[in-house]
Amino acid sequence: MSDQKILELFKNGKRSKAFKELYKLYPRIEKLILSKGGTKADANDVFQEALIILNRNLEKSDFTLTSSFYTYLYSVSRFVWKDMQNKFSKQELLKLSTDEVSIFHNVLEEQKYQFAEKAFRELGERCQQLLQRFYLKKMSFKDIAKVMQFKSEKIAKNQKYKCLQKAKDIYRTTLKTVQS
Amino acid sequence: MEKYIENTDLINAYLNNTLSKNEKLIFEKRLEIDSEFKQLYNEQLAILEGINRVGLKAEINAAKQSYVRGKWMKYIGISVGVVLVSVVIFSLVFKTEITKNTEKINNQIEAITDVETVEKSLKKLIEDPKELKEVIEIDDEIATSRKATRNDVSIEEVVNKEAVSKEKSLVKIDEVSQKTKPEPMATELKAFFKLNKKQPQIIEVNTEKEFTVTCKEGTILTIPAKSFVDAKTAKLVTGIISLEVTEYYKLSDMLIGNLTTKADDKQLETGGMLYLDANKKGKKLKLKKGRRIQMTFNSKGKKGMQLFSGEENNEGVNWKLQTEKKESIEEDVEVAFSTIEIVPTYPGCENLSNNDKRKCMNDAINKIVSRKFDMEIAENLGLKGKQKIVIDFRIDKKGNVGEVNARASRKEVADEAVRVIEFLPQFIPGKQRGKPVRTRYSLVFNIQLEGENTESNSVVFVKSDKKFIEIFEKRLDSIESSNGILGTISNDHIARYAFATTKLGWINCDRFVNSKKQKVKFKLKIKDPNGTNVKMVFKSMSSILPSKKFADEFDFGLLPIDEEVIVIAIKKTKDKLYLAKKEMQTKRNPDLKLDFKEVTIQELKMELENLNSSF
Repeated sequence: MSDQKILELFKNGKRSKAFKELYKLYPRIEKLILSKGGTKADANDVFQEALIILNRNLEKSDFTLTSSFYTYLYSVSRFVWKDMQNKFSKQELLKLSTDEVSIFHNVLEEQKYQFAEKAFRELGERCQQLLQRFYLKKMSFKDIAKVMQFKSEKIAKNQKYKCLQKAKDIYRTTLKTVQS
Repeated sequence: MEKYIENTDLINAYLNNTLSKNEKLIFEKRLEIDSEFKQLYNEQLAILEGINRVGLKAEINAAKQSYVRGKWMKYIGISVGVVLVSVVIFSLVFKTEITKNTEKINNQIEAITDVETVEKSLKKLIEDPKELKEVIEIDDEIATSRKATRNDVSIEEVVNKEAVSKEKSLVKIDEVSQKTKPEPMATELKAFFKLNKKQPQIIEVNTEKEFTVTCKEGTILTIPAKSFVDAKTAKLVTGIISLEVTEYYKLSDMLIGNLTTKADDKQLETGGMLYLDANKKGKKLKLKKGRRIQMTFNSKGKKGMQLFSGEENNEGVNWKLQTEKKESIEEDVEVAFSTIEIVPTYPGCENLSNNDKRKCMNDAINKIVSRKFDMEIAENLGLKGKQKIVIDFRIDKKGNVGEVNARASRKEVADEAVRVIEFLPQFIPGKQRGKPVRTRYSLVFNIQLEGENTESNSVVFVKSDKKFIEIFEKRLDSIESSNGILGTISNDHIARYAFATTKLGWINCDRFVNSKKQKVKFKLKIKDPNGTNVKMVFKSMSSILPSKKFADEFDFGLLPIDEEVIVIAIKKTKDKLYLAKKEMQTKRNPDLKLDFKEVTIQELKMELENLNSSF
């Protein structure tokens, strides 16, 4: 499938299909990571991260894909892997081209979200479900209260704020420990 | 809390893009001035993105699963297709009219096997067609004779084991009572051997061309062009260099050169030894990585000769044959796809004749390429008409596909071709003389695109699979660091032993002595033993064994019993030289008296030369 068609899939909200197409590129990315000393599991993680970054960028209105999906994912994967290994030297960073700089920024930005994801996963099962239902499935509090057997819509709503607050707290402390 | 909920909702609304234009502007303004609010916003954004990641990951994983499933389904589909194709071909074979119709299964891509390959390189090596034939025969024989040697060795080992285990207890007791290590050779003796060893023949070699020379005693060397590099800098050396060759065919030369025929503890029988060295204006040279000097020894008639390389140690030269290393060299034997005895088998093409296998493989590869090749890559490049892609790849000893090369009009197209070829599953490797060998396979694809190809035929060459190349280079390195052994022959029809070495230095064309006779311990006592070296020459075979000196005892270890041998002792004191020789049969720890007589160097050489006829 051509890149153009995959892009259309993304645009038309057929993200799953697009991901499936893009997975055809995975063996080559896996090769890259293996050649850099990573394991297959590493390669899997890296490629997943690269797809998330790609997806995030595609959702941005000001982003256009200047190269092929393969080239893009390849360089993102390279950066993700290097970042995972903490292998950036200052000199290297200075030598980056503008395209690479933006990829590098993407990778760093994504790192924040990874922490947030971790924080979220530390929440109790019920909190996780509640937040996912609200934010991902965009369910109304009314429905959520029904499904999750809250006594009222309001309690569900209150509970959601508490869960969110909890996630934020965990996130803040992890960020602090990372930065220090 | 109230305010917090309010803010959270506001941020949510902003992120969900449900604010009015005006509200949005106010919101953004607030972000700029209210740092607390900005932090809140950032955190919330992060958390929401974090939650998003959870959803995305689930989605990606699902996509991956379905991709993997799809891939398997395709493979299953392909193998079913291959089976169908082979059935069709198989049935058609009996009706003699085969091929051309089935070949055009796919109207977009057709493959033609390119069946001209490797032999060129062999031809380059040796131009004389007669010798070329010999060399090829040797290659062919490698496998079988190695097998034979192995078997012999194992039989011998079984036979010996009993004897050895009986002897072992004895040896142990002896060793305990002696508790000494063998003494190193006396310095006078060492100096004597060094001084009197045979002088090398110096041959001027022009490195620009392939060079063949017959040395004084009949060894034929063929050196490919540009084969030498500086030993230190590894830089290629050009122009005239000096090759020093010392040939050891005569017993006297070997004895005076302090050479024996032993590989660690195993007895060897020699078909000649060589010492090769090269220099340019005194600078030491070595063979370039991967280059081989072909050598034909001037002796004949013994089966199972192998090449050994030597390492000098205190006692003289110890010979080594490294089987594992040899295998890696054998792997370097590449057989042309057109001539290989049993062609590599594409999974699904088993149980067919060679030609049908070739056909089956062509079709299968054809099919895979036509399925996998992304035509849009070519289309998107604006290519038109018929596009030719030439691909070649290796199928190694294990059946893996690697070292894919592709030539096409555009890099992207060649890249895609390489990608597709790397999809090929593992083959059952091709075989030559029952041994898996590497083959190179090349094919030409034509892609048919709309319109007419008006471009001039520019060609881009893409070489792929770095990893494979790395492995290959590592292998070459390990070959170079090995001791340069290169093959075995056993063929009565080949009168002389021909080999190739990848290393200079000591080279010996030998075979292991596989005597099935009982073995006995053999030790000698000599009065006033200082400065003495004792060797044993076997009359029935070209073999010389050294002894280890323990005070006044000279230990030969285990020897086959009832062999006609000559014990030769050379003794060197400060100013005098003595020789003793004694013909005898080997038996357990014989009672032997050696009569030393004083000799001059000339006399010694004469005496030794007299023995040459019995070697």
